[in-house]
Amino acid sequence: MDNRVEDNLLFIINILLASLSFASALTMISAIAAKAGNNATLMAILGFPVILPLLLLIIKISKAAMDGLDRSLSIDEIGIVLSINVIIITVTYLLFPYLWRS
Amino acid sequence: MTTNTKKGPLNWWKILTIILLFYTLIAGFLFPVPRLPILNESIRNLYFHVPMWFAMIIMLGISVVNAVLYLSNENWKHDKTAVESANTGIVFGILGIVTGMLWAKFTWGEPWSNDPKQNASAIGLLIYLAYFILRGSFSDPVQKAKISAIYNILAYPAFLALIFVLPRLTSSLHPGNGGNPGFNAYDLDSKMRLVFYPAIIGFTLLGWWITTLRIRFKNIEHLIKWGN
Repeated sequence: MDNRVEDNLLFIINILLASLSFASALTMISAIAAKAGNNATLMAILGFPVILPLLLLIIKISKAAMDGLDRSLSIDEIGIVLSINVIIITVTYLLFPYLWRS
Repeated sequence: MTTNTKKGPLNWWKILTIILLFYTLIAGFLFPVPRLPILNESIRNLYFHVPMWFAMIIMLGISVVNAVLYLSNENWKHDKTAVESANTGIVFGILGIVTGMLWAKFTWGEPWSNDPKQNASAIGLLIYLAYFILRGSFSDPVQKAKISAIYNILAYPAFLALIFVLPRLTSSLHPGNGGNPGFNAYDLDSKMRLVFYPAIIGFTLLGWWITTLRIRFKNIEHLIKWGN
């Protein structure tokens, strides 16, 4: 099995980032889907386009970590994943009260 | 039949829209353009393809602003504006993809080359199609308006990230992405700007015009169905 991860630290950071991204984006999406009669298909339809940009970036970072590329090459992607997260968490934080009360 | 009984047949901005769009059509097809390799005459598509995206972003922006306003004061007017401007935005998005495919056919060789920018804009439109699926799944109109407004606000930043940030990171054929210079760098001379900016304003105003017509149409439909 010659498929080792070359850069373990970057890989672990990436896993944490990925979990954070999915949690932040899907919390709001699933809450919306739950309000719309708990429809499982709706969750997938709403979630897919929102998750996709994050997913593409995360796949790119993890590929870089597995190949052991220099970390400075991934710094841009990490920054963008983090800033998308900040935006989504901020928006979710502001909007959740409205969703809860409705 | 007058469209507006108070101010005469047409508002000033509607007349401006007509003038700007005719100017775009005539000047866009007839004015001299720079001769560039590969692009050749297809550079004229700049006057039609790019304003579509500008108009779409602005219409979707109006939609988000109205969603925020709806959440803050729960006025039905804002909900209607949010839905209809999102509708117009999607129409402009589809037109943008189609004009882009036409352009790509003659410059990149094929209409759909799975370019990051093309894929991102297609997925971006899915976000807003999902918005209408979400609206369709409610029976209570208050819930529908409120929750779709929340999704609308959530979707806009994700949409902008998808369309503007992501394609810039990977290699793309599209100008302005992946190290390619943007259009401004080499060919938007002052003559092209004279048509390009009026085209953006003209198409955006046309989008708003369509939106207001759709809102009035919906109001009349509501009136016929429910009375006052």
